[in-house]
Amino acid sequence: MTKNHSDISCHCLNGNGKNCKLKSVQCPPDTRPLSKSCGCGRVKVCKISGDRKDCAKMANLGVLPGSEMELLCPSRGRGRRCMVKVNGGTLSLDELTAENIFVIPA
Amino acid sequence: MNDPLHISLAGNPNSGKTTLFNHLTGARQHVGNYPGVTVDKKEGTLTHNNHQLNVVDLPGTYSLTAYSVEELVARDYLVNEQPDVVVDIVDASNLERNLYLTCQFLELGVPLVIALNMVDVAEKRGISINTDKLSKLLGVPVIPIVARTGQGVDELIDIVLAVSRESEHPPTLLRYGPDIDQGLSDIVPLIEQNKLLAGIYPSRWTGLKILENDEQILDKAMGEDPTLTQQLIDRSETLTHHLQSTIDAYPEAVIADHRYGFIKSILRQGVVTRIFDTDRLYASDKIDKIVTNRVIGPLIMAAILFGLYSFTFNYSTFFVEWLSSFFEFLSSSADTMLPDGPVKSMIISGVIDGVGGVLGFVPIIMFMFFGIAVLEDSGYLARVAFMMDRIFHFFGLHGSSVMPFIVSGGIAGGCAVPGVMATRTLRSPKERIATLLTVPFMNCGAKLPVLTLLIGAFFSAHQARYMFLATVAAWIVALLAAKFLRMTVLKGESTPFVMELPPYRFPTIRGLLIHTWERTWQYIKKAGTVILGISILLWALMTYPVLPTDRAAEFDTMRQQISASQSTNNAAELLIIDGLEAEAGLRNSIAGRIGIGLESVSRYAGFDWRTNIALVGGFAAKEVIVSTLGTAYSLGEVDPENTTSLTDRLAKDAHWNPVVALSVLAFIMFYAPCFVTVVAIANEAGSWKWAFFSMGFNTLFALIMSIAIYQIGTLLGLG
Repeated sequence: MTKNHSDISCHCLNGNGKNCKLKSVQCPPDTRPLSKSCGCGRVKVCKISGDRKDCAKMANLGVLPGSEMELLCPSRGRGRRCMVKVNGGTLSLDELTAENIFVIPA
Repeated sequence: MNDPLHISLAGNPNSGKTTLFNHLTGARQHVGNYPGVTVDKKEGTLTHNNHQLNVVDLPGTYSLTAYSVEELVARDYLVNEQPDVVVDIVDASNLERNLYLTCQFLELGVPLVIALNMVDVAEKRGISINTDKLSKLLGVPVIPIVARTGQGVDELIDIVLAVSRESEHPPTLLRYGPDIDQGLSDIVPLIEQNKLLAGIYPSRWTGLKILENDEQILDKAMGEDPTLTQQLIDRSETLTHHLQSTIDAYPEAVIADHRYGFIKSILRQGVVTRIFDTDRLYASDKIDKIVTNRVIGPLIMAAILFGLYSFTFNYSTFFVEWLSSFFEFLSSSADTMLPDGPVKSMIISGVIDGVGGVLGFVPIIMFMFFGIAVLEDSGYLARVAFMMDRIFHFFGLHGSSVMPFIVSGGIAGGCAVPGVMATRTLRSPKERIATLLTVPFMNCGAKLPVLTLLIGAFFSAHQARYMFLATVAAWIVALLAAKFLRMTVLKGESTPFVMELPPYRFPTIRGLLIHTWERTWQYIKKAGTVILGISILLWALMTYPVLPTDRAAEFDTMRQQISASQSTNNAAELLIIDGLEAEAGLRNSIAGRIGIGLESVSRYAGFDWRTNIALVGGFAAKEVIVSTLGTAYSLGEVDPENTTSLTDRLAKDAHWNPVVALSVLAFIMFYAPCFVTVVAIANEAGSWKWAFFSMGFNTLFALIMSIAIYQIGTLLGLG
């Protein structure tokens, strides 16, 4: 069977998201941590901070700057966890993780 | 028949991998462990068109990085064992997420067949997949299947056999954007020229992992060629610095982004057609809105967990009693058939009682694991972890810790052995160890007769209240102990708790039965072998040295005198002599001497030597405390289920009072777990170090608590 030598590169970090820049200082003013995005519904990831390994784990799960996700169980109050739908799967995120994901309304 | 083919099943968690494995292998499977880790290794066989296939079910992973033990195990297996074909099980209803792992198989260049599972679910969701086009674009065969029913599985195996005959499986070259591609162009030629890790990994893949800062690959490379590896790391750090300063991202995020980009570009080429809007909420999402609701959710959870508890302990009773009767029959048969002597004593007290005591747990374990399998396979267990995480997180644990706590006796009457084994659902090592060290604090079913005995003897007016308090105290102590462990020996940042919540599904009966049996068999096999040895040892400790001949002769003389007296109470008086001889024998045994020796410390907690022997015996099983107290208090044989006479005896004994009872209660609740649990802890923690720590830590903690209760109670004149 012939192998696919792909040079497809249609989805990249640069330029993803109309209102979302990748550098934290360039994120729009309404950027906020996912843990404080009460009732946002659909959000777009603007930046992910924190430990390198944790960022990589999130990237593997499809939570990347520019990716869109839906808050199924919006966080409310202190210590609330987030349940988000991303790439067709439902993820449960603890407060620590949700604090490191910065989003804007999609 | 040809040599057996080796195939591996790989895929995301909840992709239906194990369902396919069970369908393929049925009962022809066994569970082991990968070397050095506690990840299950499931292997099985099947015969298809006169070809024998050995199948390995790899742990479910989202990627082939080095961030979890499952990922490392899966990756090492693929690289080291080099299976003839890797079957990648892809959930058709969640294609984008699942194809991410597929991308990494393509990068690694393994012989790959994609089993597009749950196509029926995808169809119901209005998702239509052009498998021919997907196969063409990915360059590997894609076979639609439904693992639950077996639809398409025969065709899948036909294709697996065909792929196994192909000799070449070159890695697929993906593009990762100008920065990463340039980085790879710089380092891959160096890797090729110097043959770094050649023969193990493709050179471009090694380069990619170096850019991803993969610790395992960096360690291996450093071991082989430190100078070159340092040069590669320097180049990788330059790239990382550049990406950090320009787009505030690490190389692995850029690589992941391009992998997802590759997947999206494929799916957009007419591979997937959707009838419904992509944002549509499915039944699973709607159920989640109710069962994870902040008000209704915990109530539903409490009802379901109580249901699991009731199911386990109510419906297993018949089988527990049946097994108990069976071992009683064995004991009485051995008693009748064997001549008196140490061999008979050892077979009855050491072997039958010891092994019988362990096998007596089997029905409870089977029912408990069946219930857990239902919750796990249906997807509800993940929601329980989600809801409990906030509370458990405060104590340094995870939401997933709740089930081991419940199973161990969170609702009084569980068992710590399946509780310890249930910690397998926890993925982060520190939280897992903290959980398995603290679950034995729960009030297991074996402690209940002891609690009932002491509370009945000294607090009979408030029996229900004290039993409830004992349950609450167990929870508080377990959570505080976990917090203490996480602040000391298991110190460290909490691991981020991110998990995918699988969609709700109806479990298959076959899957439930297989899951239940494989876990139960592990218990019988692992615990049963060790327990036989330890129960014989405990029997010897409580039997030897036997009473000196002259002292035994004294009791014989007393018996002869009673028999000669022709009193009407002969039988009762002879029983008293038997009891006195048993007490003297126990006092003279090694266990008795230990009990007397321990008095120098235990008297500060109000325990005398007889209580000490009972507590030492309780290490075998907590129920033994009741029967040993009976023997030690010269009452002869005492049925643990019928403790009335011992209750009266303790209540009237000069040494005992409510403060002593409370002190003993606290000690029994929190001291070293029984040896079956200790063996389970050693197995699950992968080291006897934690098993010994559990014995020492729990006993010290319980002793301090008991001394505090006894001393303060006595000082206040409550005794």
